[in-house]
Amino acid sequence: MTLARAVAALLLGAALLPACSSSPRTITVDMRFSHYLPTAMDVRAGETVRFKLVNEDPMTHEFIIGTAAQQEAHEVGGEIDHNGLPGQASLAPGETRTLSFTFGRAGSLIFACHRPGHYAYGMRGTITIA
Amino acid sequence: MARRLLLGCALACGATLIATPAYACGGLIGPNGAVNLARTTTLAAYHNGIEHYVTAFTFTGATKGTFGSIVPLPGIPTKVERGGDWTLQRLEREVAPPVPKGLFLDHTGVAFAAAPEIILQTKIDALDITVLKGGAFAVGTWAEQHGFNLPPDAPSVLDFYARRSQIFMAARFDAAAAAKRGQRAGDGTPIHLTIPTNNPWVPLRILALGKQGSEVIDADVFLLTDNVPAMLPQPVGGRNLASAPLATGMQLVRSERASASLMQDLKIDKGMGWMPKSMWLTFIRLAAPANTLGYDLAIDATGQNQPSLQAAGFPTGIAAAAKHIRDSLPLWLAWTAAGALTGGLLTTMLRRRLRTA
Repeated sequence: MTLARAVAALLLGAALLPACSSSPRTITVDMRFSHYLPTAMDVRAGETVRFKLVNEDPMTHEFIIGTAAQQEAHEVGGEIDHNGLPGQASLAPGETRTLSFTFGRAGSLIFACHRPGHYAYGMRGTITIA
Repeated sequence: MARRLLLGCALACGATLIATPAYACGGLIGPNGAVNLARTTTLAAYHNGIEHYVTAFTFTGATKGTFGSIVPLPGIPTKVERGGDWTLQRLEREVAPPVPKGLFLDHTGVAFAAAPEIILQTKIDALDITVLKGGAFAVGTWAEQHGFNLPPDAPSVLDFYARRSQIFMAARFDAAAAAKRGQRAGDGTPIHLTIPTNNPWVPLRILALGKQGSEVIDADVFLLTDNVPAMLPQPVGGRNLASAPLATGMQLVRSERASASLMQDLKIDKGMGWMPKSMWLTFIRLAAPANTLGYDLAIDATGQNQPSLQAAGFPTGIAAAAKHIRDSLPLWLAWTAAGALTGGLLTTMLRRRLRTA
């Protein structure tokens, strides 16, 4: 009985460890030739992810997380600098920047760049929240 | 058999292109000295180890700000000067009769680049020309910082060229200066670059920069060489080099000894006094969807028939080049070729069966 309780406690602790961890998971996203790498990511509902964004291109890029409808709105929007806004970043040529974001309930989101022509060119990816 | 059928289809396609009206000829020199050409027109002339590259930058009529283009170059030019007003038009006139001015189409300027190490700067009419040396990132960043709005495919296109030659020319129209000179939308400024190089090559992929996948890129490319040039990839109708891939978007329209009158007319134009008495004229018409234009035109003008794979943009070998060209074939052409092949096979089988019977 004591052994069983100890095993259960260990398993519970192991399960809670990632959620209680002080340092969130880091996902590196490269921007090269006006495309993202990776183009698809999996996260957990409620997870906070630290994105390390690396712009290798000689032009400004954006990393904007949102729903399909929000992406469409950004496509016609006029914001130039997205830094400081939740789930959004603008990166100058060659710049590396970090962005932390906490994902809500399960579903899927899109990350994209809305510099003129970039979204249509294919500069977008998906985040699956499980 | 398949190759012959494919070639036949490609030739048929090329014939269709030739049959279309020629809009690109008979441009007039405007009162301000500008030239009007309806499509991208380029001359790459090669003699005594020197490439003479003549092209025209078209003023699009913007009333403020600056705008321009980026052109990859095979080497560092020793001279960048205003080209003669007549050269490109005379070449167009050589290959097609004049058409009424009302048929001219607007053509969009090609985007050009420059690098962080400034090799040369000059001003020609309303154009600010900068020749730069550097990698794709440096050139692209310089362009962004100097007001060039790079399209999203610019990083990959600049990288494509920088792996081969890190020399770029940035040409930027000063709208205020253009207005002061009285330049109108469609007016072009011819530029003549003198570039020492082992063999010339003509940048073609850059013409697709910022264009949509199915958008057709039209251009006229003229070559003047001492010998009959060998080209890679081969234009439809060109000489058959062993294993060289065929570019269905390029049609060889003329390949002949340049006429005495053409040579005489060109020689008297500004900056063309270097021309020898006789040269070989090659005229290639490009009409390719942007997403199939992943190559440049490599030329061997020495008579050795060995155009450079690297200069054509295929540094990984002839197999990769052939695959690229094959993969970039328009779907309809591939289906047409497949249909013709199937038809041919069925006909052959039917004939054999009839003979047997």
